[in-house]
Amino acid sequence: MTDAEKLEVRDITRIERIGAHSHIRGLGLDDVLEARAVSQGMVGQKEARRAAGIVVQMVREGKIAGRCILLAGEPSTGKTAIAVAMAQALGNETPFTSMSASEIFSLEMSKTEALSQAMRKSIGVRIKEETEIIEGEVVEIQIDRPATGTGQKIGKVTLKTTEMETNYDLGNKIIECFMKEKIQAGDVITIDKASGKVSKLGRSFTRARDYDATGAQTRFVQCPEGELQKRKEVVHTVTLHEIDVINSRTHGFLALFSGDTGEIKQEIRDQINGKVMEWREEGKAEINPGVLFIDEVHMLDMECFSFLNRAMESDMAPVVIMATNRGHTRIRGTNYRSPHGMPLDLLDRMIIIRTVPYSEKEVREILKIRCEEEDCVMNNDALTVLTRIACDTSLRYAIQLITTANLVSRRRKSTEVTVEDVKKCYALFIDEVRSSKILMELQDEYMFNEIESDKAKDKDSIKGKGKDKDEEKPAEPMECGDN
Amino acid sequence: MENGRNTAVVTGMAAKPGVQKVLDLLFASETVADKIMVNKQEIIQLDKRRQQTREAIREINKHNEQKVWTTIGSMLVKLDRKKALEMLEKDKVQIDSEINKLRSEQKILVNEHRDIEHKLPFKGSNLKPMNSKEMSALRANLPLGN
Repeated sequence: MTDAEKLEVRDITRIERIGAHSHIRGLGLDDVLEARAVSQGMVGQKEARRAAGIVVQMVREGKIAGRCILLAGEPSTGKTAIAVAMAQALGNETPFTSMSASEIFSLEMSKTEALSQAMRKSIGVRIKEETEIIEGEVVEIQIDRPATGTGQKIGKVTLKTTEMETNYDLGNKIIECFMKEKIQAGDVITIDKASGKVSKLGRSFTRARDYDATGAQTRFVQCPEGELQKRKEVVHTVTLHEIDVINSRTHGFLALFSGDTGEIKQEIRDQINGKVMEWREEGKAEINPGVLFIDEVHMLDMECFSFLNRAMESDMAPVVIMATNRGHTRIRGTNYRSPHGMPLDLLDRMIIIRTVPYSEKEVREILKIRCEEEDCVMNNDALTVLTRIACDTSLRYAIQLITTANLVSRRRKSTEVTVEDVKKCYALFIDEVRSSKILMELQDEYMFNEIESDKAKDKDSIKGKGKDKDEEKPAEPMECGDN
Repeated sequence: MENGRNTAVVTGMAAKPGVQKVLDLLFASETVADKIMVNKQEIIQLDKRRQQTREAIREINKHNEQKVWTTIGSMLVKLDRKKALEMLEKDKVQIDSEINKLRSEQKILVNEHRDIEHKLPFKGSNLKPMNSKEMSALRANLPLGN
């Protein structure tokens, strides 16, 4: 059992699969928020990055809670990249939730529930924990057992730090703790003053030569410095959603780990809001509004937009950042047309950051960074060809070619990717433009080819129903093209 | 003394306004940092005293002699047991409050130092701590780490 306790729980460093934005470390700004040309994985988009930097600064200072920011721009101009960079720049003390708007459509949860969970995930509550601990290296430990075997044990322990040394008399209960942890001279331990819990941090370096053979799990630590009795203050940030989940009794805390939380009742949310407010009044907690990022925001429908509109007015609202690549289009589920496919009243509340298409030079930089990220050595000519491909087709397609070309070059046991590899991949994997061209040419040979008859039918229905139905049809394949 | 040296350097290079500013900042940050270090050392000394006082109280409680040897300053005095205990207890309270005072001062100084270095202050350090019951409830259910 003691072994199980020794298992140490480490913070999991977020291991991401090589995603499209895994190379981004931050916004790449200097001290005065001026964007550097190439830095922290970001390339170009100077204005947008600078704007994002100002937003980050304001979020850090807690100045713009309950605001809304829209990242608008053409497909693959770095909207998601900027959002990821903002998350990195905010650090891990500010909650950052990233979601795609289509995530909210689920059978288990209503749309507004999914949205309000996402919002509450982005609001942190800062609380402080304070413990008095005694931390030191055991110089000597002496436990007297009565001859009968049972009964009161008494003991003595000498603890030291680099600065001082002192004796403690031990009572029966704490001796049990010492024995359970198998504390012996040379161990570095901490004793929690309030609970009397003893924990072993490891063995002191100065005692490393005590034994010739030591187990692999022995950890050596420095003798603690400074005072023996220390006060440890830890500030935790928990999100409102986490508190919601542990208090929603039907699910229990396991739901927090499985991620399947279902719907949380509004009463519970109200209670928790009340409790958090009470803590805040008492000076025990601070609200730390974070950031909610909604990608592909044009996928939200009218109901969600009005919910967001309302939710952003509450006093515990995060900063909402949205991204869209749509121009003037229909609001989902309605016949109203609006810029970015969002209702005008919501749009009015937003600060809009625009991203612009990358120049050829910038595309080259991005591809270079991606090559490094994927451990792919590419020679200059190949990179030039790939840049050309990226400009003619799309940046995403070119980035995918890096991975495949790398594999091809490795197959022929080459250390670097050459023009031939890229060409081969370009022939093997077709891009969207070529794909649709082939479809157009050979459509008669595919199954269920009913486009002609569809059109005829559509024309009939136009007369019956809405006006611009056939305008919507060609737009359809775009819908899933940008993922 | 430090102050004197600082001004001496400045008079030599007074022509450049940037230099003056850098020196001022450095001086300010060093002063605060120095204060922090001094306080830290003082806390250690006080803790040493606290441990010694605690040991002494235990020692007196263990034996029941009527008179005990105690040092007051550099003098060794045989004192009445009750009197000695009383004095030690008073010392203990005094030391504890002194340490608490220094610790809260330390927090302010550290944030001041961060301010001079143009860093954001540590957030949440001015909060009141959660009580242990609330904390253990949260700890049981949340992945808070150590």
